[in-house]
Amino acid sequence: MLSPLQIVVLALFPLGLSSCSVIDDTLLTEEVSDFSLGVVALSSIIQTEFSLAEDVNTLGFTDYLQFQLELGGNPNTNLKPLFSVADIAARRDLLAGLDGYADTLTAVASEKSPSEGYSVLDGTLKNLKLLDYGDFNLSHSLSFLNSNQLVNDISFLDELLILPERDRRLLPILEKGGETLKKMALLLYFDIGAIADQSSKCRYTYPENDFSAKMSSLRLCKGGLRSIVSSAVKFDTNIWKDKLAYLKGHEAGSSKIRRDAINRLVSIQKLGQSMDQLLSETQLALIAMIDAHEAIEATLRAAQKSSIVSFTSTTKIILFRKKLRELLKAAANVQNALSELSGTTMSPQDFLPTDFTQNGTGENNGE
Amino acid sequence: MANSYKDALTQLEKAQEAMNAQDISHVPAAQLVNFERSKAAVYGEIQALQARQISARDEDYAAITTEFRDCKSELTDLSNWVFAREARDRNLLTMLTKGVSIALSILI
Repeated sequence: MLSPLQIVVLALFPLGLSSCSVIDDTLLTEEVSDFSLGVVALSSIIQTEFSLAEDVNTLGFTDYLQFQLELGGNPNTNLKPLFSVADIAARRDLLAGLDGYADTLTAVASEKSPSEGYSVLDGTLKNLKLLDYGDFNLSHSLSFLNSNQLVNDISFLDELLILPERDRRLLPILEKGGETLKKMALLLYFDIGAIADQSSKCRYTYPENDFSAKMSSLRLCKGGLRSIVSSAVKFDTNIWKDKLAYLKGHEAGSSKIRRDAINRLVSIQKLGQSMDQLLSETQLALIAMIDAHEAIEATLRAAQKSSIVSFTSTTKIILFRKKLRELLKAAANVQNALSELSGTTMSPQDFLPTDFTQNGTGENNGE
Repeated sequence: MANSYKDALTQLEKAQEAMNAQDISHVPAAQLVNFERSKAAVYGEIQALQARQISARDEDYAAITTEFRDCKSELTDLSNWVFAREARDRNLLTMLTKGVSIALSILI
């Protein structure tokens, strides 16, 4: 839902600028910059979500160890992380590619030097070329061929990020980059996955997903990060359920101990719900990112033909930013719920890149 | 016996569901230690299967984690313990029995 202020802004924008026949450079630069900062923020949140998943797994392991020791057991105390170093590196490279693309758009829109940031991008591009479909969690919903198709196409990003200066025009970059950006978004969307089958076909094969169709039409099978987090929460929940049953059956523990166990049991379930909401909202933000990119591209194309500028891009970017703000709040809520169970506190700003707050893409950015 | 990684994941989730459904209020601490360790091993194997991409999910399954491979003796002990109980007690442990049997079946 748009806020009343956003509706007013949307209503006023066309009135104020309808006399323009070509796109306003300042507005374009701001929109591209807003979009790019949003992409970087989304990338940062996705990276954080993998850490949060590890934290949930660690919480379960800690509770398991404690219960085992209380029962007089001798448990293996080696914590097994959910993801390997290679798993995390593959996602970090993919997200760095996203950041690199966002930086390139901002640089081209603001006519910065094309060589800026190249040294940082160089390593990212090499790593993107080495990505393999096996680095991601896709087999729950995608065939080998489809998985491979998504990952292979991402290496084309280098053609956009290291263009010679004469070719560094925004529209061609957006047109070519749109396809690659969508593949990256699809890859992350499937990697985040689903907590339950979204198609009856999941029982025996893969759902038919058309990558060229709207992302909101995708149907996934149970799997991916959402399913992994759900399993971790279920594991921890059941430790506390068993602990309560044990206390009851053996008439052990004071009423305070039982009350604490009950509170813990409920808090962990609530954490699981918040975490799944965060992951599901992230998938929606990926869709909003693609919509915003397509809208900027359409606006620029229209401007090139000297037709009346469409303001669809502004609407889509507002929606993208709105999704991101919700996401930042949700990420902070999950982090705080986790901290109540084990540690420190976080605010939405802790997930933002420095530029995001400096450039005002936050809460009160003229909407 | 699971034939593929996909089958194994389905079977492990069934085992986990049954084990989680067991009311353990009357299970002695010594057996509960084994039971919780088995549940942790099943959980670890499920997460390993979910977190790691299996290049051909129809390939023949072999347990991934050492914890799950090593929990066979605990599962067997639990199974033997249940069968040594009187019929009335065994009826209270049907979900434990079911979960343990499924987990054992894919380890064989």
